[in-house]
Amino acid sequence: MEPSVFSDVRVLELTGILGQQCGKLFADMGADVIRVEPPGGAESRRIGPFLSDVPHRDRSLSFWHYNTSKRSITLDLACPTGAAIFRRLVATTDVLVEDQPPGALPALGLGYEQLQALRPGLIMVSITPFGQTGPYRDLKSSDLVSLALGGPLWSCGYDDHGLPPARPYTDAAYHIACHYAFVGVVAALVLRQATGQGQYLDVSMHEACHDTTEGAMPTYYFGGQRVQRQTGRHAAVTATQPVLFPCRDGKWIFTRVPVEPNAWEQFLDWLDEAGMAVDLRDQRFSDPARRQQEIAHITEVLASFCATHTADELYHGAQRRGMVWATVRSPDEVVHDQHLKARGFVVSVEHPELGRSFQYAGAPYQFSETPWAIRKRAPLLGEHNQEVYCREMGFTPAELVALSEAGVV
Amino acid sequence: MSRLPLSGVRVLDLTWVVSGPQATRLLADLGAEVIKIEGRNRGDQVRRMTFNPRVFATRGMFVYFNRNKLGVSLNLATPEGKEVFRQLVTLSDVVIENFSAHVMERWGFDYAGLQAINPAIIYVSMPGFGHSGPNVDYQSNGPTIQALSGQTFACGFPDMPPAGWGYSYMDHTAGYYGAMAVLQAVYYRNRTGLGQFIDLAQLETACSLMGVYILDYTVNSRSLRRPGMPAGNRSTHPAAAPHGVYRCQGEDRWVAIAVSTDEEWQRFRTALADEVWHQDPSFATLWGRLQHQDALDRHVESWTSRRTQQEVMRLLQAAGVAAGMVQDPAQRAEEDPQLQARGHIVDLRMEEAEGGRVRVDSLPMTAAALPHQEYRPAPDLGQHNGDIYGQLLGMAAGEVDDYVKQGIF
Repeated sequence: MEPSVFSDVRVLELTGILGQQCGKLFADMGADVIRVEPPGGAESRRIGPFLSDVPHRDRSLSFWHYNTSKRSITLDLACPTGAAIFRRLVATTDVLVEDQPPGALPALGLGYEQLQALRPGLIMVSITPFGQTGPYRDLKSSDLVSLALGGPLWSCGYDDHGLPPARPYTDAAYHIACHYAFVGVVAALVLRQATGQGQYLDVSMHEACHDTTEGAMPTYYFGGQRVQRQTGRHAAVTATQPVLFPCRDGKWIFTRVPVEPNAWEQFLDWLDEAGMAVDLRDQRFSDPARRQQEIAHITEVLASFCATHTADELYHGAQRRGMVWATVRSPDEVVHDQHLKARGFVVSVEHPELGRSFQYAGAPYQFSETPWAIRKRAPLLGEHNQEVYCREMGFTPAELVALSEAGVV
Repeated sequence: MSRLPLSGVRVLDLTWVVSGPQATRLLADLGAEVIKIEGRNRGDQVRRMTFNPRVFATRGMFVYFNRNKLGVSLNLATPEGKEVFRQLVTLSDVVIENFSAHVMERWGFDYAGLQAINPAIIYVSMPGFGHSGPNVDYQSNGPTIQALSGQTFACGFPDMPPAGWGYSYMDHTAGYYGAMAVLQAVYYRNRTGLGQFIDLAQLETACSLMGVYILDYTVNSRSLRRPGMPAGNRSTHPAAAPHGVYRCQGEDRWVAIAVSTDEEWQRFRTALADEVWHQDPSFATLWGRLQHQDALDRHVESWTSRRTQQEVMRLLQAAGVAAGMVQDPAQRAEEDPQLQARGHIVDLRMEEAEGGRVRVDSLPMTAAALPHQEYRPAPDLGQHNGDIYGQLLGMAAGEVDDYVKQGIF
C-alpha cells in the first residue's frame, strides 16, 4: 500500500450535510474515517440525484461523492447504551468531526470536556452555521442562507438589480466551512505532534463565508465603498464592461481584453485573420489608456467576433495567444477535457454491490509521496458494523444482533 | 506568545496576486514564519490595488492578503540572487508559488532542483493547469478556472446568461487547498522526515468541488446543460420550497429563505399570522409546494416586500425558519451582531505604517491553539531584508546595501 498522510489517524464523523466534505478530505488522504449514522441512515442519504433516479439510501449520488473512502456504522446516540458505545469509540479516536446544533452533544454527555477525559489529545471540531457562541448561535441556516448573511450572494447575480442575487453552485457555503475546518484540524494535529495536546475547534460557517468574498471587504474597510454585482464578472464600485459572450455553438466564453502591448497586437492579428478587426487598428486604440476610454466599442467588436466562433475555438485560440479566456462549461463537460484526461483527474471507482464502476471527480491536488486516492466507494448504510463492533471492539455477533434488535445500532 | 500550530515552520513565499497569498496568509495566521519574496521592480501587483489613491500602498487588498508576513526583495534572474535563494532554501521547510508551470524550472528551482538543496523540502506549486498535460502552458485567473470547472455555468437563472461568481472564489479556495497541502505535508514530514512535491492545479481543485454534477452525468447521463437549468435560487437536491431570495423594502434589499420539510413549513406559517394565502391546501406538503412554486414564490415575495429584511429575518428565525438577509459589505462590517459578538473583525496593529484604524477579518474559528492574535501589518517591499539577509543569512549590512544597488535585492 502506498504511504498516506493520515495512515495513523482515525476520524469519527458525526455529520449531516454540512460537515461531510471535511470527512472526505481526510478519508481520501488515508485517514480511517468512520461515519457514525443514526440507524435509519444519515439525512444526506436522502438527497438526490439517485442512481437511475431510484431513491434509496445506498443510491444517492450526493452521498456517494461526499463519502468516498469512509466506513459506515449505525448507532443511536440518544439512548444511553448507544452513547456508552460511542464513548468507547472515542477512546480510540484522534479526531471527531461534528455538525450537530450547538449544545446537542453536550446534552448527551458527549461534549468535548467529557470526551477528552476519555481520550487525552482528542481533537474535536464543531462545524455549525454560526458557531457555539453569540446571539445567532441557535438560528437556523442552510447553504443559501449562509451565502446571504455571509456576503457571497451580495456579489453574485446580474447587472439588472431588479433580479435577486443568484446562488452559486450547490453546497458552496458547506464547502467553505469544511475547508476552514480541515485547515484547523490539520493544524491541531501538527500542534499535537509537538505538544501531545488536543484541541476543540469551533468553526463558524457564517464567518467562513464572510472571509471568502475577495475584494468586497477590503474595498469597504479601506475605501468605505460597497461593490455592486454585475453579470458574469467581478462585483465592482464602478460598472465595468461585459466579459461573457455567446458563441456560435450556443455556449458562452469568458474573455478579457488584453492590456499589455504585445498581447494587444496578437489579439488584433487574430481578429484580422478572421477579417473582424473592424477599426481597432486605428491610432486611437494603440494607447492603453485611450483604449480604456473606448472599451465599449472594443467590447462590441469582441462580441461580434465571439458570435462567429465556437466557444472552444475561442478558448484554445486565445490561450495559444497567451490570453486567459475560457469556455463556460457545464460542470459535467470537464469529463471530456483532454488536459484533465491526460492528468488522470477523473477516476474510476468500483461498486462491487452493483457489479459496475463509475467515473468520479478526482484529486484536488497531487501529492508526490502520499497520493490522494479514493480508497473505496461510499459505504452502504452500516456496512462496517460487523467489522467495527465485532472485529475491532470485541462485541460478539449475538450481541450485535441484540443491539440491532434493540434499535441501538 | 503561546506556541501556535506552525511555530518554527519557515515558508518561502513566492506567491502573488490572491490565490497564493491567501494560502500563505493562513499559514502565517497559524504561526509559520512566512517570508514573502518579491522582485524589486514589480512587486506583487496587488500592492497597486489600494481602493483609495490617498492611502499608502501597503494598505488595501495587499494588507488583507499579506498581513503577518515578512517581506524581502530578491531578483531570481541573477546568479547572486539564485545563490541567496539557495541559502534560504537550506534554512526553510516550505517553498510555495503560484506561477505558471515552467517559471521555477527556468530558474533551476523545480522540485528536483529544490530537493538537491534541501532533501526534506516541501514544495507546493499552484498553477492553473498543473505541471503536466497538453494545456500545461495555458494561463488562468479566478474567472478562467470558474468558467472551465462549471462553477460559472452552475450559477444563474433558467433561460438567462450565466451569472457565475461575482469575484474570484477560486482564488480563495485554491488558496485554502494550498494551505491544506502544506499542513498535510508538514504533518507527514514530522512523522517520516520526508518532504514532497504537491502539484496543485487550480482547475482540478475547482472540478473536485463539482463531484455531484459530474456523477449525475457519468452515472445517469444527465448534463446540467439542459432546459430549466441551472435552477437559480431554487433547490432541487435537497428538494425545498419556498427556497429563494426575495425582495424586501428598500433599494436592492433581499432576504434568503429556505424551507424544506412540512414541519418547517408549519413553522413558516406561524410567522405569517395575518396572511391567508398559506392556508391553500396545495401548499400543505412539500410535493404540493414544489408543484406550485411559481405561485408560492409570488406570495412569499408579496409578504417580504412589505417588510424590511431585518424584520423578515427576525420573524422567520423566531419561528425557527432558516432565513437571512443578503448583507452588503457595510452591513457585515458595521451591523452584524454575530460577527461583533465573536470579535471576528479585528483592528490591525499599524504603528509601523501611518496611523489610522485598519480592519481585517480573523480566522473563522476559535480554539485554544488559535488565540485571537495581534496581526502584524503587511510588509513594505523589502522591509525585512535586514532581518532575513543580515540576521538569518549573516550578510554584512554593507553587502546587503550593495546587493540592493546592484538590483539583486
